[in-house]
Amino acid sequence: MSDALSPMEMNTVERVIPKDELKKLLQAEMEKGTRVVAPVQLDEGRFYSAVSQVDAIDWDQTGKPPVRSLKEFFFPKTEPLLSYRYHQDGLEVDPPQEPVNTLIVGARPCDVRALLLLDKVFGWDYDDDLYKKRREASTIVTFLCESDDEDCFCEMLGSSRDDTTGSDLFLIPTEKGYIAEAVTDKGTRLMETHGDRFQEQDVSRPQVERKQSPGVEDMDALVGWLGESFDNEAWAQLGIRCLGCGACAHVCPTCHCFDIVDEPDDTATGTRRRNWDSCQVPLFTLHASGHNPRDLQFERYRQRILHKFSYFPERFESVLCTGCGRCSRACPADQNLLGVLEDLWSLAQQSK
Amino acid sequence: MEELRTLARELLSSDKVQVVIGYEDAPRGGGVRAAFITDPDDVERLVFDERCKNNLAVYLQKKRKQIRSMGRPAIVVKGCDARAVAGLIRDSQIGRENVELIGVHCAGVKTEDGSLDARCLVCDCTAPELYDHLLGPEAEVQGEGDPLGEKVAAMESLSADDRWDLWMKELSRCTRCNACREVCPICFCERCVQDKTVPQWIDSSAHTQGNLSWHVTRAMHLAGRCVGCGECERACHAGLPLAALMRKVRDIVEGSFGEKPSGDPEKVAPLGTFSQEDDDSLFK
Repeated sequence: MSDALSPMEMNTVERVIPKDELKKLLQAEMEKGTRVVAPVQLDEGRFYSAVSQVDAIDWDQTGKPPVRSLKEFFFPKTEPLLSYRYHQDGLEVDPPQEPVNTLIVGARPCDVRALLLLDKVFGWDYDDDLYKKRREASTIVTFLCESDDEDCFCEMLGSSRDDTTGSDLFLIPTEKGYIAEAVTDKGTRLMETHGDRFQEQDVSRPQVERKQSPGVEDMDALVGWLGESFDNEAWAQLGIRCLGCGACAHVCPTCHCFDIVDEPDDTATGTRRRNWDSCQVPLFTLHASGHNPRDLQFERYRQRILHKFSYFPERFESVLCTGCGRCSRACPADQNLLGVLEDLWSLAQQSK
Repeated sequence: MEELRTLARELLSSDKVQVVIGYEDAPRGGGVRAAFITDPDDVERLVFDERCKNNLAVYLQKKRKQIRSMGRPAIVVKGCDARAVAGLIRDSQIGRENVELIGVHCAGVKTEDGSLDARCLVCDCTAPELYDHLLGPEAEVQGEGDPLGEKVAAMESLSADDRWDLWMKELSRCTRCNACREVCPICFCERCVQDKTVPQWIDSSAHTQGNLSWHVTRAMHLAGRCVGCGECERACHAGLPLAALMRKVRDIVEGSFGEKPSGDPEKVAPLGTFSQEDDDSLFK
């Protein structure tokens, strides 16, 4: 257990799965052909990854969260939408592959909440089949988050380390194993399928410490202020060091803009693909005429902030951010999202 | 530090420059970030120490239109950064007279875990070669070894097939976020070949083929111009061994033309010129 958790004094009777049994559960699922996705520690850092061996899993929930989020298992960095073949009798089109059953284990609460935000946009005016089918084919087992990092701020956005929203099964570490809480029917089914691995135990629940970060005291008020602050001159300074790469968008659990391209193999065959895009790169808004309505980098940076904290809440009543802090960790120019939100909040306070 | 601030104040007060590009403490995380100082009263924000990893020369590129519009800049440069500025002058990105260079002696920058960055262990420019002002006492890198060279040697010891497999595995992880390109001071093209769509020279999809196509093209385009600052690898969230790739490219250029990265803007780039004496044994 990390410093962020300390045992409560009162014991309760809970359904508990010891770590060994959890490993056996995953092994059994793998043998059934389920794809298991979990955090792994690679030379280049901690990443969520499909694993073929239970021993590859990184069980440590302390330290920094995986570099990228769970987004790529539902909305991959590149994916075929269709492939085509012209031949003498006409055109043949192959649909994309059906998703495989997936069990995600060791998810962070913030990454699961991000999927609920993506659900809104991928099921908005058009039902995105590829995304939806992958969501349906997945069961998510979340661990109580033990990360302690000054870039993350989930609590400022109304969440917490022990937020079960969006998870199917939620696991809480104790000395005797993980307390298991089924959150959805999928979670209940997973527990029922592996019922003998869960035991009733007398355990003490860990107490979860809240972060003491003032940050933005009233997110709704900030969202309201941002709605009227497109022309605020502060943007030029807030975005001045941004270099216009897409690292923030690619590691972001909620950034969902994509580009669609046709990639021919030859004159008769090819594949149509959907690729991650980012509003931070100049090409994103470049017109065929050569005109770019977001010509300067700070205008692109403003777009990123306003999409997340103004335009998205206008449509979906929630900010498009989970406070995971990944953008701040990945930014090669040291743009820090929490710092920028705090700056904006103090501007909003001054303008009262 | 005081020396730096005093100089910055003088340069701004005398209107010799309108902006000083340097480093300041980041408001969170204990690191530093780029600072753009326009008011002489703000020079106290400037810092320089082993945390100053960013190569700020990237902000002198023509494509950084907002910074360009701020007026004549002064910029804090370490040795490797000064070589990048020389590269920008050589490639007509900025005139020598249009920038004031504040050179700083540098004993190497440190990574997040407090260790000396691998790129600095083989540094041969602790003192900038190009500057208008040179600050601080002479510095020496305290560290031994060449992990980057060892990485390249390990790759070279593999069979061609194994080396190919290794690179396919490494390249498969790229998401095409373009951080390597945007953080590189020498990647200054206003329309990168990767962004050209008619025709689409390089697949924009982040599959291994597209990634190979992008990274090989980039490495080729930087041959003879890469200054070895290592920013590409620092910027890569996916952890691609880009510094090793570019080290190999520099080694090839040095082996073929006897040229190393230089802080002299007058010196032409090895692949940017032709001479009767060039080795032409490759033309058969």
